[in-house]
Amino acid sequence: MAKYFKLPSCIVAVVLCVCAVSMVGCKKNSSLSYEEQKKVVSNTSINTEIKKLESSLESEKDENKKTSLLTDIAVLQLEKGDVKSAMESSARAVEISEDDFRALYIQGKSSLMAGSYSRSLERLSRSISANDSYAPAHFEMGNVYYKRGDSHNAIKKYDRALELDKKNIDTMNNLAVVCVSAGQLKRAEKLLQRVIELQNDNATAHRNLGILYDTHLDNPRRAMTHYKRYLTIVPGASDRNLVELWISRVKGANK
Amino acid sequence: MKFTLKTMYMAVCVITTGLILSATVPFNMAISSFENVTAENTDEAAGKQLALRIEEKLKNSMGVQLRASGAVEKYIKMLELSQAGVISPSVVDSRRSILDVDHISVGSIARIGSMYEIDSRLVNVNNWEIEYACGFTTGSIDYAVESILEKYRNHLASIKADQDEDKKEPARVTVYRFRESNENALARGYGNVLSEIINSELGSCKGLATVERKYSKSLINEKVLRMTGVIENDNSTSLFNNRNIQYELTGELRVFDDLICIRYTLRDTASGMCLLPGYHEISSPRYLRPLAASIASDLAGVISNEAGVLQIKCSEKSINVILNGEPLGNVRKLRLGKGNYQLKVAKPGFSNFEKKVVITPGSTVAIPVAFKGGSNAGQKDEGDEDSSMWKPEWEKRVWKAQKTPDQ
Repeated sequence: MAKYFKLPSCIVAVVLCVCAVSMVGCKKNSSLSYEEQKKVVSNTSINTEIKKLESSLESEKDENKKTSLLTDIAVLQLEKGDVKSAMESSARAVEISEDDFRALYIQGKSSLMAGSYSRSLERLSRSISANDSYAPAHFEMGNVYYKRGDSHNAIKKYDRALELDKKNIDTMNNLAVVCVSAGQLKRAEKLLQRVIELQNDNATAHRNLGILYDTHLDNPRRAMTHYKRYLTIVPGASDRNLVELWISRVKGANK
Repeated sequence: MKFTLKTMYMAVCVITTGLILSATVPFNMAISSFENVTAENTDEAAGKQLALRIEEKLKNSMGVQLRASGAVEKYIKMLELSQAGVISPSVVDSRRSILDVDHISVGSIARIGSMYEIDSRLVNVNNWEIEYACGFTTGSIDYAVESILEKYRNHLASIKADQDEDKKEPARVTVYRFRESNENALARGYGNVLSEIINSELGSCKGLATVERKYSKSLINEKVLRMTGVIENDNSTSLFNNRNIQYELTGELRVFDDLICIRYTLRDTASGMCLLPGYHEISSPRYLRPLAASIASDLAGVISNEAGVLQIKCSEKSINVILNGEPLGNVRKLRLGKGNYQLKVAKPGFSNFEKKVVITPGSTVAIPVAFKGGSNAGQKDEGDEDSSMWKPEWEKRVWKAQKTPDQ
C-alpha cells in the first residue's frame, strides 16, 4: 500500500481525523472511544456487540466506515482478551487504511499482549505519527517501555499521555508505578492520591498506595487503611489471603 | 523329624512376619486445610472442616500414619509469608524438616452459586511434586469427602505396584496464576479457582511432574505495585528455572455478564519462549472444570514425552511461521505434540513456503525453508499475518464443549 500513497503523513492524519469525526453519529456504536467501548461491554454481551458490528460491516460499502467498524470490532476483541482475533481485525483495517491511528494502536496493544515489544513499538510509533494527540497510543507506548525496563522513556510517554488526557486514572496509576521504580516516591504518592480523589473505589490504586506506604514510605497506619479499602472494594480478589497477611504485618508494626 | 518341622514352622513364621511388616510400612502424611479461594464462601471455616472430616475418616485406614491435625499449618503459613515478601524462600526450604512427613494433602474449596469446586492433591514434600490429584464440582460436601477418601485409598493401594516401575525423570511444570484482568473478574475471584483446578488436572496427567502451586507461588514475592493493562515483570520465569521447573503456565481471565474469556501461555522457563498460547471462551463458571481438563491435556501433550521438536532452518531474519493456520511469529524451534501439521512460512514479497510435517515422540524434524519471489510481493507490511488464512482454523480451535456434560 505504501507505494501507492505517498502523501505526507500529516495530511493523511488530518484527512483521517476529519473522517473519524464525521463518522461519529453516522453509525451507532461505531467510532466509540476506547473507554466508551469498555463501558458498553461491561454492561452488555460482548459477543452480541461484535456480531452487530460484523453484520454492519458486511453491508458497508464505504471504505472509511469499514475501517472504523473493523477497528471497533478489534477493540472489543481485545477487551475480551482475544488477542489473535483483535490482530486480525486491526490488520484488515490497516489494509484498507494504512494510517488509521486507532487500528495501528490496537495492533500495537495486541502485539504487547502477545509479547512482541519491537512490533508493538513500531505500530504505536506509526499510530502516533498519524495522530500525535491520541493519548491511548502514548499510554501504551509507556507500557511497552516499562516492560522493556526503560523507566526513563516510560515516564516521558506517560507524561505525554497525561498531558493529552489529564484525568486518565490508568495513566496516573502506571506513571506512579514507574515513578516508584525510578525512586520518585513523593510524585508516585501524589499521583495515586489523585487517582483515589477522582475515583474513590479504584481497587488497584488503593492496593498500590498501601504497598507504597508499607514498603517505601514507612507509614503502616496509612498502608493498613488502603489495604483494607482494597479488600472492601474487591472481596473476591485472588490475592485476598496475601493482602490479609500484609494487614496483619502492618498491624504489628503499628502497635 | 520333629526338629525339622519345628524349624520349618519357625522359618515360615519369620518370613510371613517379615512380609507383613514390609507390606505395611505406613504412609506418612498430614492433611492441611482446604484454602477458600472465592469470596462466595460465606463459611470461613469450611476449608478447615473439610480437612478435619477427611482426616477423621482416613486415620482409621490401614497403612496410613497421619500427623496430628493442624501440625503442618505453621509451615503452610510460612509459604504464604514467603509469597507476601516477609521471609525468603530459602528460609522456607530450610525449615522443611518441621513438617516431619513425606506427604501432605493440600487443596481448595470455592463456592460458585450453589455448587462447590473442591480440589485435593497429595504432594511429596521432598520435591513438591503432585503425586495424586482429584477434583469435583458438587453441591454436597459429604459427597466430596467420600469421593476424596475413596480416591486416596485407591491411590495408596496402588503405590506399591508403581514402586517397581522403572520411571524416567519427567519434565516439571507449575501453574503460577491466572490474573483477573477486568473488574468483574476481580470481584468474582475465578482466577484462583481456575488455577487450582488446572493444577489438579495437570497433577493427574501422566508423563509430567506438576509442582504444587502452593509451593511455587511462595517463590515469588507478590508485593509489587500493580499496573493497569500490563502484566507485571515479576521475574517468575527465571525464578522457576532456578528451581528446576522447566515450564510455567500463566494466564488471565476476564469476566463479562454472559461470558468468561480465558487466555493462557505455556512458557519454557529456560528461554522464556512461549510454547503454547491459548484462548477460550465459556458461558458459565460451571464449565471451568471441563475447560481446565482440556487445557491440561493440551499442555501435557506438548510437555510430555509425546512431544517432538520442529526446527525451521531459514536464513531470512524476519519470517512469520503459521502452523495449522495459527500464526506463531518469527520462531525457529517449536516443541509440538505428536501428529500431522500443516506448516506455512510467510515473508512479505515472497510466495509462502508450505509443507506437511509429521511429528513423532522424541523426534527432531528440521525443515529447510527457501522462498521464491512472486505472488505476495508488495501486498503486506513486514510482520503482518495473513489473517484470512488462519481464521477458520482458529475458529475450529475455539473450545466447543460449552454444552452440559450430559448433552
